[in-house]
This record gives sequence, structure tokens and C-alpha cells, in this order.
Amino acid sequence: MPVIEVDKLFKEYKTKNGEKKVALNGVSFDVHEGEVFGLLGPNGAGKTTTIKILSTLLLPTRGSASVLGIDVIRNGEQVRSQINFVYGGEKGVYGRLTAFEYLSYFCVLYRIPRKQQKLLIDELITMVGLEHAEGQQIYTYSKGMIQRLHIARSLINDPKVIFLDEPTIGLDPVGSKMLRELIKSLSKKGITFILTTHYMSEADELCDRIVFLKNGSMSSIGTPKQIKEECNDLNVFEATIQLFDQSGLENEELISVNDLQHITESYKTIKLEFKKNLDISELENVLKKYCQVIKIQRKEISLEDAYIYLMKDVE
Amino acid sequence: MNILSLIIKEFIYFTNLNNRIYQFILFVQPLVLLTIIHFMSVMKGIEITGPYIIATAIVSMWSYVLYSSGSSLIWQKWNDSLNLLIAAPVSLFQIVLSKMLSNSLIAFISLTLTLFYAKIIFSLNIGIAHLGTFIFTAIVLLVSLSVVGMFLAVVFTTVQEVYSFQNFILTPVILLSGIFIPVESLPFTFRIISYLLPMTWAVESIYSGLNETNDVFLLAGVSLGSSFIYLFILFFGIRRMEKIMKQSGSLGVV
Amino acid sequence: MLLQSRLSFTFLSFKALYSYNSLKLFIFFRFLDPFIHYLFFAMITTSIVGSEYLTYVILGNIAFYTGRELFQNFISIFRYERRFGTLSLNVAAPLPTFVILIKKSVVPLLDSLFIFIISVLMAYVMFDVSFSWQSFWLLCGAGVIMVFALFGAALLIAGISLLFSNVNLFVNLLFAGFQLLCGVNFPVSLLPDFLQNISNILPLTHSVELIRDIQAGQNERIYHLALAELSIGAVYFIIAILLIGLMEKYAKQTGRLFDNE
Repeated sequence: MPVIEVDKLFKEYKTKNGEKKVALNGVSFDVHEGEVFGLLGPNGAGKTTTIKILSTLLLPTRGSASVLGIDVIRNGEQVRSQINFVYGGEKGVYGRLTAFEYLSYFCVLYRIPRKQQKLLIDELITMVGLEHAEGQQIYTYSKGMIQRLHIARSLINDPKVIFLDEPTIGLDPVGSKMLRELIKSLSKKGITFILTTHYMSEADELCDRIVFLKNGSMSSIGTPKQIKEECNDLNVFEATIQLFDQSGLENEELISVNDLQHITESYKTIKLEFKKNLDISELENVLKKYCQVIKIQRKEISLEDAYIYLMKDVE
Repeated sequence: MNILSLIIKEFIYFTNLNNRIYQFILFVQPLVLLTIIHFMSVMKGIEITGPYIIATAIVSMWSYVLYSSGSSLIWQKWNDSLNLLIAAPVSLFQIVLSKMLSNSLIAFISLTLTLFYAKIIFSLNIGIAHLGTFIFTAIVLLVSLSVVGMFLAVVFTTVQEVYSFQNFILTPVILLSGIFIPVESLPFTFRIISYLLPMTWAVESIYSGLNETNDVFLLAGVSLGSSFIYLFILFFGIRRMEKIMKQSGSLGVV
Repeated sequence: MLLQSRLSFTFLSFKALYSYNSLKLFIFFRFLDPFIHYLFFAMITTSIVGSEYLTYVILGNIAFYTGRELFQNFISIFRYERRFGTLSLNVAAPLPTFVILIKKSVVPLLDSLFIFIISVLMAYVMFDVSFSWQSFWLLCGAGVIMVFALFGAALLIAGISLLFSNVNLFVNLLFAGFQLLCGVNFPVSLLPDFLQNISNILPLTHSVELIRDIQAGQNERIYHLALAELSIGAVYFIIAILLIGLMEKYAKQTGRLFDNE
């Protein structure tokens, strides 16, 4: 049985100007135990709305959603003790408390028996690697430390499901790698994660399955591999060139240039997409009309390429 | 005429009447205070006289100057626009002076509004015998308020701790400048501080004008004189502050 | 007792959210600030109506100041929670919001009682407000009743304050209203009839009278006043709980209110 079942979820808002806005437009998916499930899409696609509904903070306009078989709309209170969530950024902490105090505070909110609290907090603090700073006030923490503290907080009630809304936003590479490793090891223990992120490489590395949301609707769902395969008709190439006819290249019907970067004054790399299924030598011949080609290679499709391809018509 | 155009620009661009605290201080506070003193006088069965109405107005003027002028520079520092002012060819003194004069002009609105409320809502007799003298003494008060505002702006910017406690400056200054209680009735040490405040002399000069005594212009003269002495000190103080800021890249004077 | 354990919820709430948790700030805001408030009104009173009204005005202002700080503390707690982004974490926890609110209210309630007692002593020492020892204990009792009666109104006001992006004007107008309508500086009976009707259903009005009666040694009405104040307080408390429930529901439907500022 899936851990999370989402069926035709709709959420409509009224903006401050009184306009109606559709945040979710019939989203349906299932998530299985121990999966890391990614919700990807541009800002305003409905990722956070979905997470808020599933974590009982928001009610949908229509549709149903259940977590661990419990209806989140009708029995939100029962769900709360089995789930937890982490929002990215530095908010959600009391700067004047120490990590130990902060976690004690949430132990009360999550009704952890007093006798178990100390042992549990020590264990969590060690798990997220904050034992050296547990006595320091949180306002002295780096962003990465705050994020790890949030993970520790989210584990306080031994949740079966954790929602992560852009957990690595603003973290340095070391901090985000540490967090990713933590998520991987926890998912191996059977915790189900729902993750939103704007970092495609992160989603590729962590997620077992992904759903792409676009303007509140689902655009694709599958494993990262399946999603990339969906874009197999994409002929993406990367070339290093010395350009002599830019407008000609831009107007060429057979190719479209996705990304043009200046290496030096005269040398550039371009990422381009072939509109017909031609081979690399034919592409080189087309390009030679506008530039001298130094190097050209077919690029393996990344999740980011798939994302750009699938989201290209988003306003 | 540079300073005049600066004042006009300050007045138009930086007078933020959307600020909820300013709205309260300028428009509501005079009404609240007037209502309190009106009903207090009804409780005792006496009539409110001119000086008490003026006292209420001065409290509002002083509150506005304290909260607007006092914080004007420190806000620029927090918004990172103080550096831009320091870098401008116009001296910081001129900029600060224009800010304070513009704030004092707004404080003048508070005075007018209090008199308006007193007359229209409470039908009180303000009893201004010589309008010209009253306006003159009110302007003298505004000058003294501007100077005190400038002084506070500099102190708050250099010693930020004081800024956090600006509430603690409001009432003691009202007490010391003789707005409600005559300075003569204060203990000796307090009296010395009182007479060091240019506002004290301006307040006394306003009250003398209302009571039609002879020393109005003498008191106004002392107030203006002491205001200019402070202005002179401030001129060098702000120049020094500007220099320190350019040298150290910060305002960590204290 | 409540603050005994350094890890008790009450202590942690205090440490996390209370502005005055250093000794310097505590002295400034719990001794100097009330003193300056009373000084201002003592000054106006002496100047306009004479010192024979000083006791009357100071006692009214003790009640007002205590109430104002109680309201202010509740407003700050709610708004800090939202600014820190912790409001939604609290709301989403399994512990019912009502229980969390009650637990968090212990410190501001005790703090207000402390302000009240300090103010009464300050009035005795600095503003010549005289009373017997027996009256002092009765005054403390009146303080407890007042703080409890204002609790509901404080919750209500703090809840409403979340609806404002800038709360300053709302708060100042509200405090001005309490100052004018609750008989703080002059008797409610001087107000027009329709305003007197409002005064009588506001918390604080009866407390002000209660405190004045106790100080004057007139104990005939005190039980009646205490009961009236507690009843009004209970009504506000019920309204506050209903409002907070509604706000929670509204927040769940719109996604607003509990989000970061």
C-alpha cells in the first residue's frame, strides 16, 4: 500500500486583488515506503502548496490526500504525530535557544515523554553532527548547521514521512552534500521523503521518482532515468566555436541555440538543439556556415535539460 | 540656496507620513492628550487655559522630533545609504540640518492641529493675545527643536545603544524643559540641566508671550543664542564624524 | 516552580521569545519605563488639577500600564513566532494550539503581575500613594484578578494583530482607547452615555475602580467589582479562543496568516 496517496487535488486561491488563482489543478500521485519523491517545477508550480496540504497546514479546494492511510483533510491531527517537515532557509528557529533547548521545546510539542527526551536529543544531535555546538545559541550557527538542526527537529517524533521544501537553499556545497548524505541514510532506514528543490542535480542524485509540476498540473512522472528518456528525441549538442555570423546562426531553421557563453572575446561555447534527427557531421556542416567549429560533441541529457525542455512554455 | 532646496526635497521625498508611528504622533496623540486634560479639568471643575493647550502641542512636537530626527541618520546607516550621503559633494552638516528643519516644519503641523482640535472639538479658549509674538516664539521653539533633533541624530548614530532607549529621553526632557511644571520648582541639579536645553528658554518665551510679560524677546534671544552655540558645536562634531567615517569606513566612533 | 527546570516549556518559551532577558533590559523596562510613564502623568496631574488628584491618576495608570504591557507582550510573542517562522511549526505540532497558547501565556501573565506589584510599591515610595499592609495584600489580589481578566483580551488582541502587516497604529489606537475609556485618568461617569456603555464592557474599567477602592479602604464594592471584572474577562477569553480557532481554520484554507512576514 502506498504511504502517500494523492488523488485529483485542486487548490484555488483568491489573490489580494480578488483574482482567482489555481495553485493545484488535479494533481494525483502515489509515494511508496522509503522512497525519496521529488516535486519539481518553477516557482508557483504548486510544489509548496502540495507539501502544505500533505503536512496538514493547508486544506485543498477539492480532491483527496492521505498519508499512511489517514485522510489529511479529515484527520489532520492524527497525521501530525507521524510526519514532520523542514522548510529551507534560516527561519523556523529560536535564535536565543541552544540546539539542545530547541529540541527540548519541540519534544514537548510532540509529546515525547520527559524521561526519553535527553537520550533522544543526544542521539539526534549526534546523528546530524552538531554535538560540538549543542550548547551554543542558534543565532551563532551557519546556514548549514541550522538546516541540520531542522533535520534533527524533524526526526523528533520518529516520523514515517518527512517533507523537505527546498532544504538546501542557500547552503554551500559542503553543507548541501552533508545534508544529501543524511537524507540518503535516513531513507535507507525506511523514512519516506517528499522533496522540493530547484537544484536538478540534487533531485537526480536523491530522488527515486520525480513529478514535474507546471502551472499546478502534472507534466511528467517517473524515475529520473525515465524522465530523461522521455526527452530522448532531444538532440542536445555542445560546441566550441568562433562565431562570425551571429544573426545567421540565430535564424537557422535546423537548430536552436539554448545557451551561448563567451569563453574569450572571439571563442564561445554553445549548447544547441537539433530539430531533426541528423548526425553530428551534418550538424557540423550546418554550423560551418556561421562559425568556425573548434569542437563539437553530443551531450548526454541531464535532468536539467529535461526540465528546461519540459518547462519551456511556462509563463 | 542649496540648503533651501535640500529642505524642500527632504520635505517632499523623505517625509514618510505612511509611517504608522508618525501618523499616531502627529494626528492622534494631540487629540488623546487634549481629551485627557479636558476631562481632568472637568473632574476638578476648572477651565483649561491656553498654556496647557500649548503644552499639549509641544509634547506632540517634541515626540515627533525625537522619533523622526533622532532616527533619521541611523536609518540611513542601516539602509546603507549613509555612505552615499558622505560621498556627496554637499556637506553632511547641510544634509542633517535640512533634514531637521524639514522635520520641525512637520512638527509645526502638529502644533496647528492641536490648536485646531482645542478650538473645534473642545471649544477651548486658547487665548493668544498677540498672534505675531506667538508665531515668532513658536519659530524659536522649532529652531531649538531642530538643534536638539540634530544632536540626537548624531548621538544615536554614533552610540547605537542610546537609540534603543529613546523612549527614556521623551518624558525627562518634557519635565526638564518646563513644559508642564515650571523649571523653578525642580531641584537645583535638574535646573542646571534644564537651562542648558535651548528648548527650555523657547518654552518659557512662548508662555511669557501668552501671559503678556515683558521678557518674551529676551527669553527668545537666549534660546536662539544657545541654539546657535549648539549648532556651531554640531558643525564641528558632524565634520569630525564625516572624517572618521571616511577614514575608518564605519561609524564606530564609540 | 514553573521556571524551576531549565528545560521546562515555560522557561524555554521565555528564553526564546522574551525581549527583556538581560538584567540591563529588565531594569530599564521593568523599573525605569513604568516609573517614567507614571512620572509623565504625575507631571500633567500636578500641573493641571493639583497634587490632590495624584493618587487617583497614579492608581489608574498602574492598572493601565500593567494591562498595556500584558497586551504588548502577547502581541510580541505572536509576531515573533511569525517572524521567526516558528508559528507554523508550533501550529503543525500534534499538541493542540490551545494547550500551546496556555503554556506560553504563563510568563507574560507572571510578568504583568510583577509589573503591577513593582508599580504599587513605586507608587508608595515615589508618588506618596499611601495604603495599609492589609490593603497591600488586597491590592496584590486585585492585581491577580486584573491580570486574569485581561488575559482573554490580550489573546484576542494578539490574534487580531496578526491580521496587520504593520501593527503600530492599531496598537497605539487601542492603547489610547483604553486610556480614555477605562477611567484611567478621570472617572468614566464624565464620558457621554454611549461611551460609558463601552467602558463598562471593557476589561480594565472595573479593575481601575477596584484598585482605587482598595487603596481608599472602601471595601464595600470590591467583591462586586472583582466578580464583574472576572466575568468580563471570561467572555473575552471565550471570544479569543473562538477567534483563534477561526483564524487557524482561515489559515488552513488560504495558506496566509501563519506564514513568515
